[in-house]
Formats: sequence, C-alpha cells, structure tokens
Amino acid sequence: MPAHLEIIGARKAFRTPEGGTMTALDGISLKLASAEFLTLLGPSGCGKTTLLRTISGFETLDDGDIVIDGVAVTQMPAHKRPVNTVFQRYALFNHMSVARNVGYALEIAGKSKREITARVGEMLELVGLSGMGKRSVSQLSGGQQQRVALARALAGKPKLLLLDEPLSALDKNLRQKMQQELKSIQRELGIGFVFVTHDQEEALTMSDRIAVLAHGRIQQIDAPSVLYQRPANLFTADFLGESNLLPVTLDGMSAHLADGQSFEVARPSGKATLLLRPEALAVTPPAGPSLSFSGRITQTYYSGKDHQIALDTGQLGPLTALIRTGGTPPEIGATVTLHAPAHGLHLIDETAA
Amino acid sequence: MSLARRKFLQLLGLLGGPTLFLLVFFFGPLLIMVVYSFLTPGLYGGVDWIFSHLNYGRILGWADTRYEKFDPVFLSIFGRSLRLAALTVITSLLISYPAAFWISRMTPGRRDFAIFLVTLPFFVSLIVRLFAWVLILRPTGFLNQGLMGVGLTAQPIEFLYTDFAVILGMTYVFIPFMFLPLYGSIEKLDIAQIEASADLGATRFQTFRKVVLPATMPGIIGGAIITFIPALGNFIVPSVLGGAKVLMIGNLIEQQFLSARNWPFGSALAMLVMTAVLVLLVVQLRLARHGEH
Amino acid sequence: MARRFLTLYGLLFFVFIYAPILLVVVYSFNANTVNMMIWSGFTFDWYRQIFGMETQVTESAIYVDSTDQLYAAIRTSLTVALSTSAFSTICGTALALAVARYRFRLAGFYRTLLMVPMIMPDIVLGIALLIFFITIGMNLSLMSIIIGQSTFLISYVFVTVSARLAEFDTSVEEASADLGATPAQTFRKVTLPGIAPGILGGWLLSFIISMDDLVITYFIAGTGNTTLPIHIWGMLRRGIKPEINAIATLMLLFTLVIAAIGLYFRSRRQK
Repeated sequence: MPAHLEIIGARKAFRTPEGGTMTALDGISLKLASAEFLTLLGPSGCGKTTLLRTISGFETLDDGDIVIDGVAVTQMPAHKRPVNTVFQRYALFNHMSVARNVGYALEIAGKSKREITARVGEMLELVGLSGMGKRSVSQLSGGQQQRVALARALAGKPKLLLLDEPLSALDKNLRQKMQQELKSIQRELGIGFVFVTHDQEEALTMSDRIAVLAHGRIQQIDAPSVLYQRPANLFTADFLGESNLLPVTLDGMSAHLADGQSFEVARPSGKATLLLRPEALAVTPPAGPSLSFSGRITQTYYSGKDHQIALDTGQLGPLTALIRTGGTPPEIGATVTLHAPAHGLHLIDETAA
Repeated sequence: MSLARRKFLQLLGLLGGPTLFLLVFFFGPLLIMVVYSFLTPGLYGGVDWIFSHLNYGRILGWADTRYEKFDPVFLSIFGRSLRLAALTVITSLLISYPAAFWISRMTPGRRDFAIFLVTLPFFVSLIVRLFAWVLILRPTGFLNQGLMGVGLTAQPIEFLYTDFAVILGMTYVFIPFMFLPLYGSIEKLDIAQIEASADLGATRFQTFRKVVLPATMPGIIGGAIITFIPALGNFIVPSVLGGAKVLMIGNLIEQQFLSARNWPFGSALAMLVMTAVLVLLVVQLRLARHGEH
Repeated sequence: MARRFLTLYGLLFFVFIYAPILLVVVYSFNANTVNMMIWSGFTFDWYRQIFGMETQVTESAIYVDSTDQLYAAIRTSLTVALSTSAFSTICGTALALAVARYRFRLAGFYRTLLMVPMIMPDIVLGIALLIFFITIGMNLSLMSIIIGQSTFLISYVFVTVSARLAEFDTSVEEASADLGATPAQTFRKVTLPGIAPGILGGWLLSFIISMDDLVITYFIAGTGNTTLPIHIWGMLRRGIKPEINAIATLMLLFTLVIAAIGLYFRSRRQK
C-alpha cells in the first residue's frame, strides 16, 4: 500500500523579531499510512504546529517535499490541497450560521443546494448536532463549536484531516468525551488523522503512532506502548511519563549501577542509562533475578489507587516509585526496599541522545 | 508559479499603488519644500533657482544684505508659538487628567458612552467650534454678559484677541488629543495599586506622586506631544481668536505664501516647525525606549 | 469627599466641552435681529434664510452673500469628501491588508511611515503641496484638493482598518483557504465581511475629516473652489452674523447623523 502522506526532509526557519533565525523544522521525514491516527507530540516550540501548517499549506517549506497520495503538494496553495484542518480555536465564520459553516467547502466547490443540505445534515448528525444548523455559531458552547469545526472540516471529504490541538480549550470531562468520539469518527471514516497536541495522555490514548518532536526534529516515531516502554533516547524517556534514569556502565555482557548491582545486557560496551518506570518498582521481590533499592521515604502523594513515593537511596540519588500498599500508607522517614525484575529492563544508549 | 512568487505579486498589488501615490504626493512635496527653503526669492514673487542660505539667516541671525536682513521678530514669534503651544499642553493636561480619572472608574457601559462623548466634538467642524468661542469671548459675549450681570466688572473685558483666547481655543480644540492617550494609561492603572500604596502608609498626595503619576507618565507624554505638534503650527485658531494681535508662526508662514509671496522664506519658516516636531519625536522615542528598560 | 469632588470636576469637564456648542445651537433660534447676543424669542428665520425662503428679518441684518455661494461651497465639499474618502479608503485598506497579512521585511517600516502624515503639522503639508503643484505646473483644482487631502487621510483609514484586522483572527482566513476557497473567494466571503466595520469606520472618518479640513484645502484650493469650512471662515472674517449659528447647527446635525451611522454599525458588529 502506498504511503498516504509522505514528508521528506522538511526544513523551515523563521526570522525572529530580534533579527536572528529560529529553526522550526530541521529535516523532518515521516510516512503516514491511510487511515492511520498519527499524533505529533512535543513541548511548545518543538515545531509540531509548524509541521502541521506546512502540510495544510499555510507555511511553505524552505526545503524538502510533501507528498499526498503520490502527488507533491509542496508548492500547492492551501486551497488546492486535499486536506482539511480543525483549528485550535476553531476559526469558525462568525457571520455565518452553523449550516453555512459546515457547508462552506461544498459551497466553494459549487455543489448544488440539495447536495449541500444533505451533506450538512449528515455531518451534523455525525458530530451530534442534528437540528442546530440554523443557529448562529456565537450562540454555541465551546464543545459545540468544536463539533461544528470538525463537521466543517469533514464535509468536503478530505483525504486527510489535520487537527491542531483541537481539544485544548475544553474542560477535562468534555475533553475525554471528545477524545473517544474523535477516535471513533476516525475509525468510521477510515481516513488519516494528523493530530497535534502537547498533552501526552491524550496522545497515548488516541494514537496509532506518535511522533515525538523536539528542536525541530523527530526524536522517535512509534506506537504508544513502544514509545513508553522502550524510548529511543533520553528526551523521549523523560518527556513521556514519569521516569527514573540511572546511569550505568557497560562491560561486556553486563551493566553496572553506581552501587555495584549489575544485570545482564545484550550490548557490548559504552555508556548507557537505565530507565526505571515508577510502576516497575514493587515492595515484594519478584520470583526471578531482580534489582533492589533501599532508601528513606522523603515524600508521599496519594493518587486514589496508588501511593507515589519519593525515595532517597543515598548512592543512587532520589527515586520515584508507584506502589500499592493495601491499607497502610507509607510513612515519611520510614526505610523501605523496592525491587525491579531484571528481565525487561530498558537501556537507553546515550550516544543516541 | 511558486507560492512565494504568487504571494509576492499579491503583496505588490496591494502596496504598489498607495506607495507610489504617497511617494509622489506626500514625500515629493516635502522634499521640494526643503529645496525651496534654500532658494532665492524672486523680486516680484516667484523664485530664482539660485542656492541661498539667507532664508535661514533672516530667522537665525546671519543675513545682512540689502533685501535680506535678520529680524529678531521672527524668532520671537516662534518663541511665542512654542510658549502658547506649551501652555495649551499644560491646560489640556490639567483639564483632562481628573476627568480621565473620573471616567476610568465608571461602569463599563457608562465608560464607553463617556469616551464617545469626549471624542464626539472632534468630529464637529473646527470652524464651528471656534465660532462658538467667539460668541462667548467677544465684548458683548456670554462671558462678559455673565460677569457684568453678577457685578464683577462694569466695563466689558477684552477677552478676544489675547493670548488667553488663543490658549483657550487651542485647548478646546485639542482636548480629545490629550484625553485619549491619557485615558489609555489611566485605565490600565490597577486600583489595587492605589489601595496597596495607601495600605503601606502613603498619604493621598504621596500615592499620587509615587504610584499614579509614574504609572500614567507614558500617557501624559504621548498626549503632550500629539497636542503640542498641531498647536505649534496652528494658524486657524490664532487668526480667529487672536486676530492681528496674537501672531503665531503659522500665521507668519501663511503670510509668506498668500500675501508676501516669499515662498523660500515661508519654506524656511516651515522647516523650523518641522525641526521642532522632529526633535520632539526623537525625544519621545528616547523616553519610550528608556521606559522599556 | 474626594470622590464627590472628582464627580463635580468631571461634570464641569463635560460642560466645558458641550456648553459652547449648545450655545450656538440655542442662539440659532434667537429672534433678535438687532443684537444677536441677547435672546428675544424663538424663530426659524435664520434657517428659512439659508434655504432662501421669505423671512421677516430686516434688510440690515441679512448677510449680503447670496445663498448660491453657500450651496456651491457645500457642493464642492461634498464632491471632494466623497472622492477623497473613497480613494483614501481603497488605498488605506490595501496598505492595512498588506501590512497585516503578509510577512515582509518592510512591514514595520510601513507602520511607522504611515504615522508621519498624521503627525505632520497641517500647515507644513499645506504649503509643501502648494509648492509641489505649482512647480510641476498642475492647476489648483478640485483634483489638487482631492490629492492633497488623500495624502494624510490614507493614514487615518490605515489605522482604523489595521485595528480591525488586528482583532480579526487570521486562522479564520486560513480555515477558508483550507476548505478550498481561492484567495479571491476567501477575501470576498470571509475577510471582507470581517473587516467591513473597520472599512466603513475608516471611510466615515475620512469623509468627516475631509468635509472639515481647512488648512490644507486653504492652500491648495486655488480660486473658485471654496469648500464649506473656507466659506464659513470667510464669513467669520467679515463679521459675526446670526445666520452663521444656523449654518453651524446644520453642520453639527450632519456630523451627528454620520456619527450615529458609524455607531449603529459598530453595535451591530458586536452583537
């Protein structure tokens, strides 16, 4: 199957007001299969929004190419590209009704009135706004405006839908509901979604694949579980979720921690870092070989089902662990020993960072 | 056609016409005026295309030929214009500041309406507004009627054709210029700052001097400059309310063009006004930049 | 205490602004033909006189000019103001769109540059234009007035439209392009309706300022192109006559109507 969207060596720099240049995209390449839900994730200023805007055609690349369904669209103006966007703050046309907003692409394409009415009705039903076509968009709530923006972008049957932090303006409950709806709409329509967000939880729950961006480069692009469990570099490990990063020295077939513990690895030599997710640490030792860490509890946070504790291990520095302790909460000042099974430990090669 | 090129052509389409128009009809005339100020006036009006610095010499003191002599009256008229413009700025400031403060503390709806009321006279014809003051200030006018009515004076006082009338007239005409920038900075002032200052033991006067005044200084400076500039070069107000007695630099320039027909000298006088304006703007830029640090 | 003092001061401020104008309006209905400063009863005579109707005003009090000159001045003013405001609105809007919607090196420079015509003392611009037109051998005419006024009115429109563009989100235009609209379609269906209040405001503003411009027009009008403000100024120079009250009141009314139109459209926009 040919790639639905392909970005090859995209570069883009902006002039800053102070007269310098800021590199927003520093050689980005990626491929998106059709019907894939790809999320661009990264801290603000990482280039994710710029990348999205070059796909939609609002920014032109300094270098590189954008190919959609085998056609290079790099020099094509935004209005000719077969992609539509859901904007961060919706960008609805305030002087038009809901129905005219949704039917805009069809009106522009010169479709008949009957066809437009039918499609608008269909779209409003899809996003759960049936019968609200006559309203003015300024009468709608934030969530409803969000739905209109989605219906408007989908009405023209784009080959690819781009979403620029579309849920960031909604409150938490509504956001979770919309996440599920977006996901199911994407499955129903079977078109590719490119979704920009800085919210990692949102990215993890919705995406088929996530591209983690920083400093204008893709740090890693993988399925959410791979990204979380086997991050390719320190940035991804640190950016996604909570992590304990412990430096190790490699020596032949074993890795040594600073306190002398060691475990077997399949890597020859060099410097590396051990990633220990807080939930990998447990009070009860596992059956097989394991690493163990003793220390004094310095902080505890109760999250509802787990206790997150900060542990001062002395030689290895502070550690964060997520533990389930049944009825008795851990006490600050108490000493505790935690264990992590030696199999499945993930090493990050520092030369990759 | 590439995207960048297409955008460039659109931009050219939007900018080209107006830019050309302004270059020719705005900057062109100013340039010619500068040139004229260095030319020799013809004997019977008109101009001889011979370089001369004597137009400036007549104003500033080095002209000493048969036809072109230095006369201190030009500088003294310029000095009076500076003084009247400065006094206009001060009166407008004193009148506008408390009013702007008052309006900034109103409820939003009332506030918008009050601002509208302040700006509305700006759209009323200038000549109509000045005519109104003629009716008030003339010997038989309303002010004298009132003063004589309550017995403050037996004879009508000559208000018209005085410095007072010119300052009053310019203040009246330029009030919106002073008011709006002032209001802009006063509105931004958080009332909690004033309360905090009082809470920390400052008297009302101390609070005003140490908190309110510094915070609203940008508005004061902005308002002062955009009031001063049109006041300095004004010639309608002095010719309606000042008569022949209160000449300002604007009247002098007008005379050079419409009765004396000495255009080069008139241009030199206009350059004097321009220079004053430029100096002011540079000072303001410096102050604004200083304020940012 | 202080608050009450401030309120009193504020009210006096409005009295200062409006009392002179109100006096003109009130005394435009004064029936006293001997001493215009003393109220002696109500009359419409001064208005009747302007419109060339029969009046009971004694011959001595009638301003000698025929009303034809007044009408001619009004016609000139309207012709100039309509042309100037239309031309300035087109140029000012184009500049505002260019500066707000395209990233180019000179955008900031343009923004500063377009302030210059507004800051330039009008007498300086007036004589500069006069010298310019004479030097290039152009006759002083309605055309020279229209060109002269446009040089600074473009800036007023630019500022008004720019303000509107600044609060008008670019992403709405991007959304339109994204949905397939060509730049022309986007401009017609989205940008224009969005900035229409700003354009209308700029147009009304330039119209009013053009109608009222005295200084610049005075220098470049030449003979035979008397605009309304110049005509009234001439009347004032020849003596204070009561019918000026009536003309002034009518001009005031005209201004208020235009301001009301502007306000009406602004309130409609905000809805």
